[in-house]
Amino acid sequence: MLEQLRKKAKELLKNKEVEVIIGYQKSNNNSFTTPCFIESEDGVDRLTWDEHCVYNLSLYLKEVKGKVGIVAKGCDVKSIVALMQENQIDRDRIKIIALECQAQVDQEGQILEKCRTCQVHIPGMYDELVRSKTSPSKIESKESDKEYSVLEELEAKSTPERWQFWQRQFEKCIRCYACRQVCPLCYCSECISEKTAPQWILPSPSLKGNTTWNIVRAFHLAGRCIDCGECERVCPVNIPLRRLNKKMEKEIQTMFNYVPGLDSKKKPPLVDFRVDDPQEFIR
Amino acid sequence: MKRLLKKEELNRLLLGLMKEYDVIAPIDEEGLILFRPVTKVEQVLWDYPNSLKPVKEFFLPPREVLFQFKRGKVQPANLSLKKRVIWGVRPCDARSLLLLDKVFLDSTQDVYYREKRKSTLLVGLSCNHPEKSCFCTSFASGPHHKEGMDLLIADLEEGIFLLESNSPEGEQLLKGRGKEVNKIDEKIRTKIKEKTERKIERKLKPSQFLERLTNGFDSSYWEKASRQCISCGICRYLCPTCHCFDIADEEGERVRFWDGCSFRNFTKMTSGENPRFGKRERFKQWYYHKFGYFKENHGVFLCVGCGRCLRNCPVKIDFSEVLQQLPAQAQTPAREG
Repeated sequence: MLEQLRKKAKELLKNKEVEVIIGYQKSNNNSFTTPCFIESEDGVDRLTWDEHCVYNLSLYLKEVKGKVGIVAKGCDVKSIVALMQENQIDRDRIKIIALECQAQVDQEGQILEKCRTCQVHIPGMYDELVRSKTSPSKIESKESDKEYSVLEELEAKSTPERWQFWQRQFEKCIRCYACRQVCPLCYCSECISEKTAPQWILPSPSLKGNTTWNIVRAFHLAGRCIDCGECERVCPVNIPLRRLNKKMEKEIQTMFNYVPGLDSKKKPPLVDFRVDDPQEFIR
Repeated sequence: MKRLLKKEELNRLLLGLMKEYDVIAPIDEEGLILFRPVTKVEQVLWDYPNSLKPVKEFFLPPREVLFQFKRGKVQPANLSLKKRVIWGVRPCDARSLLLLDKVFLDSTQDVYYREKRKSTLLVGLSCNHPEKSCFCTSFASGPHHKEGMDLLIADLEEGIFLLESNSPEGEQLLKGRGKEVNKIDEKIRTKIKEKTERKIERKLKPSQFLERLTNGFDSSYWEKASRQCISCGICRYLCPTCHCFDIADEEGERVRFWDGCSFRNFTKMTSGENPRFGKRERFKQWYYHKFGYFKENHGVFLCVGCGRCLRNCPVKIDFSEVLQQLPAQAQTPAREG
């Protein structure tokens, strides 16, 4: 796969179809994988591909100008679709080198939670596709591998218990904003947390401010978050942010029968209106 | 003063401290290693990789109320603090406080910081298992350094500990405890110290940094070096020496809280003008502050080599590599990536 990936990347650069390729590389001492930006044909040998390519590189699309190639997994492509739906990127300047991905692992070698329910091992949109030569090594499925099984434990709790759970989580927040910064869909030129007149969110790391911040962010991602799970991965204090976003995803799916990141032509429900939209939540 | 203590005697020392002081020590809190107030000896971790947050949080808290106000009346913050002990501080973190002292105590004294410093004893624990990301030996420190501590505990392994005082208060704590240290104990200690130092593979040459930074201010290198940075605050907040803060009024409280140069708003002025808006400039500032400006102003680098920035970076930026690869001459073409 790696050979093919490098070949395709090289062609794109050689034919001047792109000026830069955003991909994955091994660190100098070979001990971890990092994002990389490759601008010359000789550079493509740095590209790597394995189960440590956790980063959602579509994050960088808003920063890199001009014609750009991007190495993307199925989940990453979903965020590219979501960005297209919101007119944030011009599809014509982007070449997607999509990779068939079985699963990614965390630093302890455990398969990521999101990969257990992945429906897009082969990305849904691409310019080039690199398939795996070996037959897919199926992830051993568990009873708990249903799409929203991750929410079951929380949903079983009463409202006060849930509130208590999240208060405990938000208490830990240090307001480093890594969740926002790593999120491809958090592209506002001015974040609500940065506004000072009026100050919508208390800026210091207090329980009150932290709660507002985390809930506002979850609301802003409702029907937009494609579950790349990057926010939860980078959170230094282990707040289970994916559960928050997954819950919003489920609500949107139940109410509007809509899953974000699958169809670039479709309008996301929160920017659309239909007379038969459910209204039960307005009371 | 040096004394040799068995584990039980050390536990007794800790227990005694708990009666007299507020004790803060490293614990495992839902999978995170953090310094927290403790009341039981069993809670305290003995062999732990460095804590997620540095001990600076007890001197420059993430959020601190400076004073309260209500309808024109100001209520100053209560600065008096019960005597406390931070137990199990690593040498890198202890050294970081000496660097913070230069900022908060040397010229204008910051009373909030000063009072916390004055009422805190530091009991350190030397480090026998450094992590891959550690590089304290490159910054005038080391896994067995006692600098900045009142008392240092060196684990001689097999349940024996060598305690060394480094202040009158530390000596007071040691008095009448354990037994005398003989030459063999000293030898074992030196052996462990040297073995640990050898384990630290990451070696930097900070003496070169200042000149390179001076030459490289406008280098295109920074454009490329900063590319993968996502501009979050993790490296700044978890750094034991980063000390920038913001001040705001929150519901009748004037609060001071951590802020960092990676954020766009950090340099935004009232007029709306922002001299350091771009990612490249914000990224660069951290390196220039730590290894340029601070060195020029205070004669030391603002880094203790704890490696937290490396361990916790969401995109695994290796700050030591960023510095090592900074071209010696400004015109040298920058490396890709």
